[in-house]
Amino acid sequence: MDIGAIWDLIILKPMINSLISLSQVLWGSFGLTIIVLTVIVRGAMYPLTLKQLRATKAMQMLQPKLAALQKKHGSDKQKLAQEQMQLYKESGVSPSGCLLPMLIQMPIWIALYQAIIRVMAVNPESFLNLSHYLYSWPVVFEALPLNNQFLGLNLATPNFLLAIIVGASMWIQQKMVQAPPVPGADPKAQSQAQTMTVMMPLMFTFLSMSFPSGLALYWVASNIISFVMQYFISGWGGLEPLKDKLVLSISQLFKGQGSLRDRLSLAGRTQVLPAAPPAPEETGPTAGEITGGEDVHEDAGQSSTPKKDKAKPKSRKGKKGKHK
Amino acid sequence: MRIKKKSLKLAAITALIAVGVVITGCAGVGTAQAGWSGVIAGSGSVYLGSAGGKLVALNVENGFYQWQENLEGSTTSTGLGCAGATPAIIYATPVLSGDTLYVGDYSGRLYAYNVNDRQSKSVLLNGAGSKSIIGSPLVHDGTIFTGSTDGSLYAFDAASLTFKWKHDTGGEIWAAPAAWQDSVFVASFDKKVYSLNSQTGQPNWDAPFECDGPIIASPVVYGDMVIVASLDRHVYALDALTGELIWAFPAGEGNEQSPSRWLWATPVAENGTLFVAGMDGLIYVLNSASGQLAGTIDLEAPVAATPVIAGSRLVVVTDTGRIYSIDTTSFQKVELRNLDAAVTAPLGANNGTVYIHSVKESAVYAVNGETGALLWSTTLE
Repeated sequence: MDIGAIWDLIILKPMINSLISLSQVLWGSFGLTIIVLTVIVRGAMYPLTLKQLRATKAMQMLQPKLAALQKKHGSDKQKLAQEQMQLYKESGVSPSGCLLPMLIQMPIWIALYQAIIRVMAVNPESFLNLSHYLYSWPVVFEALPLNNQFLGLNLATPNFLLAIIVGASMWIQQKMVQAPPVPGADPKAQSQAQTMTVMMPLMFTFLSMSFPSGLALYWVASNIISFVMQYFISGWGGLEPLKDKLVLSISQLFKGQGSLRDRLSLAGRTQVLPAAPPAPEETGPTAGEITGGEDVHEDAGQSSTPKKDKAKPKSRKGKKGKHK
Repeated sequence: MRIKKKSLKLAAITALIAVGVVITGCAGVGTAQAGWSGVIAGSGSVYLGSAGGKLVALNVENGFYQWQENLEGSTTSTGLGCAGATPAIIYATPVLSGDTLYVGDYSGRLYAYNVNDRQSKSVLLNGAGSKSIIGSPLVHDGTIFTGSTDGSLYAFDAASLTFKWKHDTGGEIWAAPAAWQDSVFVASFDKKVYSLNSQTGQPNWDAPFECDGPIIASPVVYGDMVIVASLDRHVYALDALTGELIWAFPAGEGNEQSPSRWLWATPVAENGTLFVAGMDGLIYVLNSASGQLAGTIDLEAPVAATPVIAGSRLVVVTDTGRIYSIDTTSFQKVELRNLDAAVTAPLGANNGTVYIHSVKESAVYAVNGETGALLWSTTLE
């Protein structure tokens, strides 16, 4: 049995038949089925995602120190490697911690993507080909072909609006994964991250314009789940400065800034507002310090703000201790 | 200098992504689309729709090209850089009636070609919003009938292609219609079989017959019965007059070893026996009067191409290209030859010769239905 047959047997066929069977429960709606199955699969992968996001966060927090090491030992590669390893060891961070959970999840994402393509059967040949993947379950035979209409969209054809939403949601997700600008961080790495943040959403927008919108729906659902998870694990990430700017802009539109802040529950972000009161706490971890694993993320977004306000996010963190 | 290098790198990445996007967009998603037109023989020629969207006429004796015509196709956009006129895709097997060859394409256009002077006319089924024609048309009593993926069965005057009537079903129609007396039968993805008056399009039965799966195989009129094979893996025999169920046969039931896949190919009736080829690689041999199973023949590979009777034998081709001949009385099978080419298009037959179109290989094979001798093969342009 070749690798393709094993892949089909163990991963792809169960995914395809689950997708079709689930659609029967969901009134035959393929669109709803894509969303629900994406939620289920991402839910099942949650422990791995959590591990990956935490490891990524911890790595991001190490960046200033790594940059400092690079600066210090840039000419001595061996010494640099040693120091880096020592830093990882001391911080309890493993570089493979980001990669491994992602690698484990990868086959599942690919299978889900392939299953959606196959079940969607955008042309007669694809529909005929689908028969090779079906179990002998009556529910599977009765469900097909699935209803490709969802919220006025034909999921078998490309949709411009959904393609734009794919790009926007991916940009938000990329931006949230990205660490806020940290003084001392490697500018090359930051530049690469910036490029990725723009290129990936652009690429997926163009892909979505060419692909059936059922796939775009899957990407949108997946991105939304990603950034919800991301928010609860490490906050707004690279979106923090943008969010602050937005709050400032909105605040300037209104005279009663204080009441607006109260309404938006954004007291912890008031350092950039003209009428901001001083922070109740004096000190917090400085940018880049690893004080408690993923918890330090709140400080990273404040690099462009006065140091005295650094304690503000910590007070918010206190309210949301469960995020630990 | 550094900025220039960085800009170049960024430009290179952007260009790579752009090329990738365009290529992916052009390639599309899912299995490549090429159609699966079968072959029909008549007037000294064999006719078929090629994977390149051409209507092709080959000499029936030697397979030499006689003529080919480009079908109009459609103007669609499949993605970035891929907009524009796309060649026709032909799933329907052409139908010859007198000197006129009728064929429908995936853009929803129905064509009528005079095979002598090659004058043609065509009609788009439903105007600009037309969907596709997958099933073969049917000519009956001066009317041409064709189903569409918009869910309607259309009737046109066969000579002028002027619209007569249409009847809506609840699902796509991929099956060719069948006719009997003044009735036309059509099966749909809505899991129903309809009987309509061929002149008016009005339903003949009190209610359409409903089963548990969509129907892709064409209905077969045999005696005063309509035989239907459904994707719910059942074969149904209906009273052609009333639409009442006479019998139902569950293919693969009770056979734990059978993967029980779809019944895709149209059943073939001969000498009181029905031969139903399944995607599970089995040929179910049924008594046409009772629906009792007379036997199964294992071909060990799925069959999607509708088999054909050649002389006294049923000729079947699996989707791997193995050609079998089955005696219609003893049900003994003989492997005639292996084309080693995927075959999903319905087979055609004329005077004991079987014509096989492999879309994947873009070739037509003429094989003796008794001996399996390859009479000729032609690679399509």
